[in-house]
Amino acid sequence: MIKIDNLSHFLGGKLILSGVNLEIPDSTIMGLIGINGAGKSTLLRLLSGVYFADDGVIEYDGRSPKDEKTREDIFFLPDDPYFTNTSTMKSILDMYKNFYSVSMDTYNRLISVFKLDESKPLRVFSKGMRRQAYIAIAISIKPKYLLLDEAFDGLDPLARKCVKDELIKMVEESGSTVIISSHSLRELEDFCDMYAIIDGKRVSSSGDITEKTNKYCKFMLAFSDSVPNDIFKDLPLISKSQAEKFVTGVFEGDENTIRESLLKFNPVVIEQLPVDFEEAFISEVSKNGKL
Amino acid sequence: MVSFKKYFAYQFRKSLPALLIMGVIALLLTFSNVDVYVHPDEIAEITDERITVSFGILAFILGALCTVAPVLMLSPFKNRRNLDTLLFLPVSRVKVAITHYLVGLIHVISVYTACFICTFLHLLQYFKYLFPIYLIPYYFLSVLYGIVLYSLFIFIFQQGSTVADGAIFILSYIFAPWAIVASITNTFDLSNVGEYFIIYAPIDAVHNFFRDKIAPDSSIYQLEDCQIFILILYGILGIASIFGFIYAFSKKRAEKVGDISDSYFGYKVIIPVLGYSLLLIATDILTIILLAAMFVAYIVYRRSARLQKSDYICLGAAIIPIILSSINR
Repeated sequence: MIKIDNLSHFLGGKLILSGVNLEIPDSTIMGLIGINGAGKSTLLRLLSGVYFADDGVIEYDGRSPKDEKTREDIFFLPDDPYFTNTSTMKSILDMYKNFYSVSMDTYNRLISVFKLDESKPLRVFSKGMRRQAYIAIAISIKPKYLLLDEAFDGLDPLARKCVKDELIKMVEESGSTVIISSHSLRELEDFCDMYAIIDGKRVSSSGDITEKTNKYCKFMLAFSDSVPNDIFKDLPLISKSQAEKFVTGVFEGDENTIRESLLKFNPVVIEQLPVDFEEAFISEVSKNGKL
Repeated sequence: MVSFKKYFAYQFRKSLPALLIMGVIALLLTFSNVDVYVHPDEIAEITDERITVSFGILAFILGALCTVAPVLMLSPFKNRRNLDTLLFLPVSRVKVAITHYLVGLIHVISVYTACFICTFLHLLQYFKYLFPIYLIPYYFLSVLYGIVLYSLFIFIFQQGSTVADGAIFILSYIFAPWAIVASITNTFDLSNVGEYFIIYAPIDAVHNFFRDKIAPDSSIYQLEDCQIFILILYGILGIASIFGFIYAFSKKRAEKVGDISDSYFGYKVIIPVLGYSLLLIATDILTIILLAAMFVAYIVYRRSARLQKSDYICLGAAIIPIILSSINR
């Protein structure tokens, strides 16, 4: 289990993370979500041991990431990994082979799935291909803890699907724990077990993704005349959109109670729409005044 | 230990192309610069003919290797993207520091040794004119002071947050000891021994001393007391630099890379110390040029024309060495 306790960190004299607390159980895929500059990459660098925390503690089953033995279990894939003009997939893999055991079966299968030429220099690869190359290496290592920063950035939909499937497979087979940061909330919704929202320098919300979306409900109402002016007044409204005689609102709370309240406005039609995780995230952030 | 061996082997393999290039350049320089010519003897008891040997290129190559190798070894750690891929590896920072220190040192010693052997082979045919036994202590002492110089430079380069800052620090430290000593001797009207304090001086002293032992000439080079003191001083500083480098490397915050270099061994101290020292020995137009150079140095340090209050105080305090210098004149 990864335990983050009261973690704080400064970058260039600016407080980036303050009092971050989080527990990530083993064999979990956790989505790390936050707006630009929220501190997702900083948190991943702290977790990987690249940065040392100014305050607080990070523990992997009670061990510090500063300890090289702990780092044998960690693999960090940054959002823009460094490579030289002559670096190839093979040369990068050879480097990691010095420190980790690599499943060549998985590696060969993945380069075949992604249609990558391991002997070509990485500089001639597109951004998406480079991303696939590094992900293929990371998955082939099957680390106990895999930290991925913006892993889906630049991947086409087919490659995204493939990466998700492979990550799920790795977690099931090896019991790995994956932490993946992404701006694409919809990407995380369908394959992450857990989420953590970084907002206002701390983890503002974390937990099970399904539970999170169930906290909110979304209704669309249609009126024969105009939409009443005081519509949604006194309701736990999170966001509202209106187009002529139609109005849609996202609410926090029990859906039945809210439906009953909405029926008092005598709409011609009332329909409950599914709340996806992205809406839940936007609701969470806007509630805290960040949008 | 396993991780250290693996990391060392990986880094050494990775550095082989650089080693090869440095080796080829150094050997070409050696071949084209070792000079020997035989001429009639002036000291009858040695032999009928005498020889003049010029192998100062060895000292030059050693100095150059000790300056370049730290830059090559530590440059990857001045790039944030590279740090992300290096520092999460399961190797402690102390081991990373020792590895890069040793790989660079192996480069210096192996290339220098190759050049030394070439010089030795070149001199072989003239051995009857020489005292080749002195080549042995010459080699070991020059290597020893090569290690000292390399250790000093790797420590100095480590203080920079970027490659450019590290290189500027190295350049500054080459002349800083000379400037400090020269300013003191100038102010107190003592004999100027500043040149003996230039950071390459120990290598130069060892070379000059043994050159005249290997191929005695009419004038025999004698080490002055001051030079012996400097050899001891730099030896101590070299040892301190090894520990200082490993400590500084292991404690360096990765997020500081690319930022302003605010080490006390960097701009913060170099600009006033080097600046005031030079102002104490400068005259007329040089004073104005030096003041302008100090101002530019602060801009380079801050990476902005908006200097801090402390920078202006340091620039303002430059009036003191200027007054002292004018009184002294």
